[in-house]
Amino acid sequence: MKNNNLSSKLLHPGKFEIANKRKHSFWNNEMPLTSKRARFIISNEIESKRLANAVRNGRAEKGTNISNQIVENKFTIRTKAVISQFEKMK
Amino acid sequence: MNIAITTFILAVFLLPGLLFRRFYYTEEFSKQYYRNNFFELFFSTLIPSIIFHIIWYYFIKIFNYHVNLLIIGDLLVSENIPNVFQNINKYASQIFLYNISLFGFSCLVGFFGKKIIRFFIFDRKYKMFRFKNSWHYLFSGEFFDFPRASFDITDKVDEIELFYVDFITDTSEGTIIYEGFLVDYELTPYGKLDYIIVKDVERHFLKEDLPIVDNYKIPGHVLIVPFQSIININLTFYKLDIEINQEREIVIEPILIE
Repeated sequence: MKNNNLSSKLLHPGKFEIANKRKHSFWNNEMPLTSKRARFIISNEIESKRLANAVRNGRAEKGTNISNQIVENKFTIRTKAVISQFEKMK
Repeated sequence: MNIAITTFILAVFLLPGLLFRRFYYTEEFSKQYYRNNFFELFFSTLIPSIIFHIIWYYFIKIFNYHVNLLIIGDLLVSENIPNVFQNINKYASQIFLYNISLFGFSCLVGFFGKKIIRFFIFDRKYKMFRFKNSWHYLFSGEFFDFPRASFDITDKVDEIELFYVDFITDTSEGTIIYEGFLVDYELTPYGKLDYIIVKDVERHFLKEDLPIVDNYKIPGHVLIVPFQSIININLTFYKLDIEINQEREIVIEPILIE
C-alpha cells in the first residue's frame, strides 16, 4: 500500500517544468547559484543528502556495482515539507 | 587660495562620480567599488564626475538656469572670500538644488546602468562592460556566453540549477579531494576568491584509485574552505529532471548540463 504522505494531492503526473529556472529579470539580475526548486531540496538535510548521492551515483558509470549496491541516480522526495514547497511552486 | 575651501569644492565635485560608482558596483560586483590605491580611486571617480557635471551644466539651461563658473573660480583663487560667499548665499537654494539633483541623477545612472548591462547581458557579450569578478562568471556558468569561451553548452545558462565541485587540498597526511554542492562564495576586497561554502561534503585521499568505495562523509551543515588551501577546483553543472509519477511522487534526477 502506498504511503500517502509521500504523494502529492496537488501535483499531476508529468514533467515538473518551470520557466526561468534561475530567475533573471530586469529588477533582479543577480542569478543565484541554485534554482528555486534545487534550493528546496538542498535546504532539507535529508533530501539534500539524497540529491548528493544521486549526483555521485550519476557520476559513476551507470549500472556499475559499488560496494555490492546497484547505483541509482534518481530518487523520490520523501519529506512532506519539500513536497508542499513543490506544490506551492506550481 | 584657501586649502579648506578647495578641498571642499573638490569633494563636492567628485561626489557624483563616487555615487555613480557606489550604485553601479553593487551586489556580486560591489568589491569593484573599492580601489587598490587613492590614485586609482581618484581617476575612476574623476572621469564620471566630469561627465556628469558637463551633462548637468547643459541640462539645467533647459530650465533657464546656468552655472556661474566665475563664482567657483573666485572660490578657488580669489582673496576676497566674503564677497564670494555673499554671492553663494544669494543663490544658495539654486546651488543646493543643482547639487542634489545632480547627485540623484548620478545614483540613477549607476543603478540603471548596471541593470541594463546585466539584463541585456552586455557584460557577457562585450568585454568592455565586463565586471571584474571572474569568479562570479565562473560559478554562475555565465562564462559560457563569453565570445571567447571555447566550448558552448546546448542548454541555456539559465538552465543550470546546481553546481557540484571537486577540489583538491594538500595536507601533511596527503592530498585530499573534497566534493559537494557549491552553495556560496566570498571575495576579498580586491576581487580574489576568499572562501567557498560547500554542502554535503565527502572526501577521500587522492592516492585512492577510482572507483572510490568509501568516501568519508563530513558531518555538519556546510564546509567553509579558504581559497588559499585549494589547489584546483573542478566544476560540474547540473539541471534537474523532475517528474511526477503515476503515484504522484516527485522523482528527481540530476542531469549533466550538455
